[in-house]
Amino acid sequence: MSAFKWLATIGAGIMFAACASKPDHFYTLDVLPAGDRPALAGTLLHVRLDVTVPSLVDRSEMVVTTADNGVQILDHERWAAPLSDQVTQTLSRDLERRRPDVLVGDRRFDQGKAAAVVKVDIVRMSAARAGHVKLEAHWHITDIDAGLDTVGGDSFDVPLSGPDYAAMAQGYSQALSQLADKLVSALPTR
Amino acid sequence: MTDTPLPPTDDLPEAVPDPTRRKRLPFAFLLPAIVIVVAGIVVIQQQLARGPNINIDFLSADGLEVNKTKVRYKDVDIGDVTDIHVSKDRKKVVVTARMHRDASDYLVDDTRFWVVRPRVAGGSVTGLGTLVSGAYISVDVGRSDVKRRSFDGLEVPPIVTYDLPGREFILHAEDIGSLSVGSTVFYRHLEVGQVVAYALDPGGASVTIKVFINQPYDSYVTPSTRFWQASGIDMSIDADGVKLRTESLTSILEGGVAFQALPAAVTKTVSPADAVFTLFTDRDRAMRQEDTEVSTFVMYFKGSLRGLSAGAPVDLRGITIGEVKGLTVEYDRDSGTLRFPVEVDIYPQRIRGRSRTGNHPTGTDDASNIAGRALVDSLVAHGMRAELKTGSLLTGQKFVALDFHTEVAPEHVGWDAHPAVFPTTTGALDDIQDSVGSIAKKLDKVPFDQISARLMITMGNLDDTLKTANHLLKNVDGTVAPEITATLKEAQGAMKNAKEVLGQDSPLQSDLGNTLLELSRAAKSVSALVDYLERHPEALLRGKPGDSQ
Repeated sequence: MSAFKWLATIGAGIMFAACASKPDHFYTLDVLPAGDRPALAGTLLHVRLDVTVPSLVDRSEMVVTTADNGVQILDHERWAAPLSDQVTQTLSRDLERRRPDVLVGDRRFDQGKAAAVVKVDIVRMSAARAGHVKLEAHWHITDIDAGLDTVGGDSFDVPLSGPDYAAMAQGYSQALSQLADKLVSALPTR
Repeated sequence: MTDTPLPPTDDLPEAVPDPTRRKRLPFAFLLPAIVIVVAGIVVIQQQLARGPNINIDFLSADGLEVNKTKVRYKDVDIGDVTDIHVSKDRKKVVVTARMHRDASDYLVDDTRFWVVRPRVAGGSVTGLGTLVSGAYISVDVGRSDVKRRSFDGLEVPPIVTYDLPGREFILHAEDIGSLSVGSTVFYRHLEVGQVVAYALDPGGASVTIKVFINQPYDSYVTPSTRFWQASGIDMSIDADGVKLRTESLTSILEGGVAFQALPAAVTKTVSPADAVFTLFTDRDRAMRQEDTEVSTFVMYFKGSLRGLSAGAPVDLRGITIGEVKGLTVEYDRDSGTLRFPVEVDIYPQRIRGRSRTGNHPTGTDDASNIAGRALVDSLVAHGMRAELKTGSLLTGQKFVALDFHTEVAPEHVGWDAHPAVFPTTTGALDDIQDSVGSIAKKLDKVPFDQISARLMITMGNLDDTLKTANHLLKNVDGTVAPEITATLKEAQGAMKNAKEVLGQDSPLQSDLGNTLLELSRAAKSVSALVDYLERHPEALLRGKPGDSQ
């Protein structure tokens, strides 16, 4: 092998080394209160939950609002699953923690046979670094058996416990937990 | 022999006649004389007792025998046949009979003789007794005062003898019908008399019939009595059904005459003997109310008069108010055309005015005439017209129908003509005839032959088609239908499967949902990648830059 070839190989190696990216961080939302689901009790109520998330934040990357009315998409701070899925799953578990007689599923679960349908439209979901998580949601709860509709809406503001992104995910989890508190009071009982 | 002279004898005594003995008749003569006298007396007595000889002419001497056949009156012998010989002209047989003396009074001008033999007439058998006893000559003693010794014998027994109580009447008829001498006369279905004679009237236009009606029935013959032919069977069909009217079985065979008084008749006057009556052809005509008022009109019809005849009724909505008197042909010189006047008799009595009360203007003929004219004028003004109608489609007999027509031009009765002219209209029949004629012409043009030929071909084709269709249907029934059923069952199974596959809980559905979700996620990832590359195109070469803090 000639010296030129060695030089070319080393050069290519340096160039590929230059191409190496920064590592990504992945975050999940927490179910609150933490711990196992309480044992099922009473007449079980099937609830279907549909959640829509604003398309601004419904992406793999975390999005933070900046002071100048802008947003920053954090390419290396990512959600472990698509945010809308995570929100739905988290909210479902939150509700089940609060009502031991309720089983919550998305539209794939027990389709058309749910006793109640909860539609949650999250119209605003934003977080500012070292600031607050703000969540604004409308909901529409239908008691199919009783034919009753309940409509409601609220906004939640959770101050972040730290400047890091884990705190931001924690803030989102708390905001969803507060939303679950509101929804549970409106869920039908059997 | 020689004569020898005898010597004179003077001593012989002179014979002296004995005058006493000469005067006494000899006894031997007495007996014959007595016999002669007695015989004479007997002969005279016999002659006196015998009565006269008479001659009776018969056509034949069948059953008659000399010195055996008797002449009888009421079954009592009143004479004997003494001689039978053929007349000189050989047309008759002359029977000489010696009558008994006390029967000489019977021999008058109208006394009738006939031979009683066994006879079978229409309704009876007579003279059966003569089969054993032999024929005899019977007598019907006349009532004349003129003596007679020569008679024409009757070939058939007389129907009525002079001693039968009752009276004869004379009937005039157009024809004799089935009547004959001996035909029965009925009164309320009772046999009350017989036809005794008939003769054609001089000129041959009618027949005169003599009937004898027994007592006491002859007293029922009054001037209002009507006689009619009761021969045969009188059948009529009316609203009550079929009526069969006959007097008796005998009358069916040999005819008969019936009589009865008009129902409205009140007269009790008994008609005298030989009173003259009309013999009607049937009871209905006989009992018909007599129309005294007759108005004659002339009607001119446009159509053919075939089927119309004298005697046809003039009908006003089903009621006969007159009859056709005659049909003629009339040449109208002015117009040079032929007209066919129909003369009809109308009986105005049958049209009664509703406003008429008890005071009918019967004063004078003129008055009733004027009233009748006014009536007819009023009827014509209200649209009454005469038209020809067919009474019977079978026979084609026509009659004159009077009816009210609304759509006719106003016309008047031609009172100026004699008889008056009654307005007519072309009947519906003529219209129908015209339309039928035109239809027939059109039908004539229809090519029935071609149509039928084509129809036959079409029918043949249709038959073939039907056969094919039948065959096809059989095939369908036998082959296709089971297959269709099987196919349907399979389709049903397929649908069931599809339902299972496509159902909400089906694995396919769930897989599909998952696949779509994955697809959606893939799309999102691609979108994110594209979005990132848009923002950091250099990342392709240099990797992801760090997040700005």
